[in-house]
Order: sequence, then structure tokens, then C-alpha cells
Amino acid sequence: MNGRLWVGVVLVSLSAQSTASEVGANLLMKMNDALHRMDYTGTLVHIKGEDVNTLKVSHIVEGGVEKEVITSLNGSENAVSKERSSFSLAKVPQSIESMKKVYSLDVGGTKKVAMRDCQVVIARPKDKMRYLQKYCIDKETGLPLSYSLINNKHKAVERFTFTQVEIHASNNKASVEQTAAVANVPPETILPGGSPSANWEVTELPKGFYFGQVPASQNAEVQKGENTDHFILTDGLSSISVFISSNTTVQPKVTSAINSGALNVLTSQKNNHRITLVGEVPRATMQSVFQNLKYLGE
Amino acid sequence: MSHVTKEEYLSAFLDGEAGSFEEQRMCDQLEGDELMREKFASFALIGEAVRNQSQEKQVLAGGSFLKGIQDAIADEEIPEQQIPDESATVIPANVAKRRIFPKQAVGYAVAASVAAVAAISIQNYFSGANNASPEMVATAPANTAPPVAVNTAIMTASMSAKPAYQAAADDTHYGLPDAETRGIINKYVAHHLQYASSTTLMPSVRAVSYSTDF
Repeated sequence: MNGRLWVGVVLVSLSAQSTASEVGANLLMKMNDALHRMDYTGTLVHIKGEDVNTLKVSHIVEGGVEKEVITSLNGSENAVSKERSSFSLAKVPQSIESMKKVYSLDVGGTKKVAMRDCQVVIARPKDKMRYLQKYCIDKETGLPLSYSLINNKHKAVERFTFTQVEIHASNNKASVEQTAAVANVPPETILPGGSPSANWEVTELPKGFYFGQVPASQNAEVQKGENTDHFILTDGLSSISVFISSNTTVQPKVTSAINSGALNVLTSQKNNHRITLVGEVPRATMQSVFQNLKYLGE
Repeated sequence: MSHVTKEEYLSAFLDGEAGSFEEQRMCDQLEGDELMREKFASFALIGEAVRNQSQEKQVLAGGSFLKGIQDAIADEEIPEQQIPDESATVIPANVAKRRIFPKQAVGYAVAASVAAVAAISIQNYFSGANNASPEMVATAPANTAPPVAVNTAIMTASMSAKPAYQAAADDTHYGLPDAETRGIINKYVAHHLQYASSTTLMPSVRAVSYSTDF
């Protein structure tokens, strides 16, 4: 009798987890779509450590091209205005199945952010190689109203929260269709395995990470003036850029590491090459990638 | 802002008041944290002791479970040898009172849940740890140079020289990048945020936030 109850409790528990995972995955897909399809303007607070930055954010879709204007309100005139018609890994729908191997997706309660009802979704890492990611997704439109990255000591390393936001569906039907087409392109830039370079290989990737490939045009940009390889590792929610350049260009003097919110940067050298890793993952994950990076020779 | 201790989380967990997210997180922690497992077992044992005692006098009346424990500890010394095996979870009185199942069934259910979560995630945990635990990856590459003092003029305030996140047992000595290296890093960061960051809205926001942190 007790044994049956035991098994029953476990099965019910697993079933509930599975359902929450599916709902969470659907919400993340909806969020990804909303970010590129909706027009929205608002005030966003970005907190990293003890630094707080308030920004005005505007996103409009016109003719299938996303136009973003982001301005800091912290007394600076700095702003970024750009059209996102080019490739960005952020626009590529990530493989939910791959992601679920290394994150468990949970759906939490609802709360209000910027006077709007939102649903809490948590991508909880199954190991220490990535951050916990917590979203509050607008129930009506799917836009993320708040987003936090939390380390394995349960400390929020970075947080974004809208304090005020206006969201509209894009009026231009053609824009919506074109944007949806762009957002739904198959992830052809994702390579499920293989070596990122003829001269280098990663002998053992951190669990759940796979190679992404930077398009030739962007790769050419980073190589401008230097002989630099750039490849990307991603687990679907987090990514690491690895830049490799010959030491004949600039000689790194130290093994250095800097940190800003969830973003870590590690620079070192190996086989007379400068290796720089940039990504929104814990430093230990970067160290793992660095240590498993093997030079194959010219 | 209130500061919630691990003990309070454990207390809430035992009280059944932690919520599903916290419960899962606690299970994850219990799986990998020996000290926390011991505390959990102790709390559960103390809870049982309190429950037994509360039949005679209302130790927990009106207070939180943790407060009850503290009061109970003050009144009674718990013999160490009675601390049970971690699988022998005992349900404290105030949890048992709310359960619609028999006490023994609830005990088995809690034990089963912990065991199930542990069984599912322990494989991932160890495989992840095998890939690179902080302890394993802490060794600096042999061909790296020692840290040196450098000029910090170009570095943004947000790109803190003192790492905000420090891996446990991380004995690798990281220096600050020199000005030339920083210039290259800034370019790489911008490139990563534009083309490689997998987070959706945030790359652009991060880019502006960094640029305003001088």
C-alpha cells in the first residue's frame, strides 16, 4: 500500500513538472516572438550589482525591419539607435529540446510589473555552468516585463525591469509577416557539433553547449585589421563568444578577467594566441572552455 | 528589505510554505549540500521532538516553526546520537496537522519527492561537475603571465576590476587588462552583444548601459 502511494506521488510530481516545462517553453517562444513583432516604448531599469541605470526603450517594426532606440536617463547623452535587420543570435529561435536538457522550465505565479499582469517563468539550470534566468512575461502580449539572472549562490547578478511600458501590435501587416518570417527562420546558423576552426578544437564542451557560427559578413568585421577567429557556443539561453587572435598582433600581458553584471570576460593566451571569452555565463564555465580549447596547429 | 536565511527557507520548506519553486530549489540544494542535509535532518528531528512536547505544552502556539525550534532547544537538549539518517525524514507537528494524508504517508511522500528529484538531477549535477567544477578549473594555464598593475583609465565603471562573481575555490590569479587589451575587449564585448548574445531584448540595453558607466 505504502509502496503504491510512493510511486503515485512520484508519478504525479513528474507529470506536473513535465506540464510546467511545456507551458514554460511555450511562454518563452511567445516572448521571443513578441520581442521582435511588437511595437513597444517604455522605461527600463537595469540593475547590475550596485549600479542602477534607467533607460528609455523604443522598439518599432517597419517594413519587416526592427528599429530600436535606447537612451540612458542617467545624465548621459549616450544612446543606441539601430536597425536590426541583420543577423543576431538573439533572433534565432533556440532549440527548446536542447535547452530542456540543461534547464528545467518552471511556471510560477503571476505578479504586476509596470502595472501589467505578468507570468513568472524560471529557467533553472541543472548544473553550475549557467545562470538561473527568471522572466515575468506579459500575459497579454508575451513581452518580458522583467528579467533576472541569478547565480548559484542565489544572488541576482543582473536584473532588468520595466517601470512603465506601452505595448502595441505592429499596425503594418506586411511588417508583421516579414518579421515573423525572419523570426521563424530555421536555425541554420547553429551547427550541432564539429570544430569551430581548422586550427582549434574544444575537446569537451560544457554540457548542453553547442557551436553557433557567425555569418561571414560579421566575422569579417571582427577580423578587420587583425587575424581573429570568432566562434559562438550556446546552450539556447546563454552564449559564449570565443575570440582567437595570433599574438603577433597584440601581446596580452596578463591573464585577466572582468565582470559586469552577468557578463564575464576572460582573456588569456595559449599556444602563442590570445584567447578572449565573452559571455553571460559564470566564469567557471569560461575556464572550462578555455582549458578544453586545443590548438591543432597550422 | 528582509533577509531570509537558509534556516528560514528550510523552516518554510518543512512547513510546506515554501512554494513549488522554493521547494525544488531546496531539493536541489539538499542534494548537493551535506551541511544543509544535516540541518534538514536536525530540523525535522527537532520538529518531531517539539511535536511530542507540544502534546504536553503548546510550545509552537502562535509562533513560526523556527521560533518554536529555538524555544524548544532552549528547553530541551537533543541527544546527538538520535539524529536520524537523512532519508528518515520526520514531519514536524504543524505540517502534519494540515495534511489530509496519514502522517506516515506524508513522511514517505516527502522522502519520495526528495529521492526522485535527487535521482533525476544528480546525474546532471555530476556530469556538469565533471565538465568543470570551480575547483577543477581553477588552475591557471602554465603559459600565462602573472598579474601586473595596469592603467584603469579606459575601463568602464561597470566593467569592474574587482570581479562581482567569484567562483568558489577559484585560486586563479586574474589581473586587470592593460589599456590596449581593454580596447580589444571592448570591441569584442560590443561584437558579442550585437551578434552573439542569446538574450533577446537585453543585448542592446546592456550595450547602452555599459557605454554610460564611465
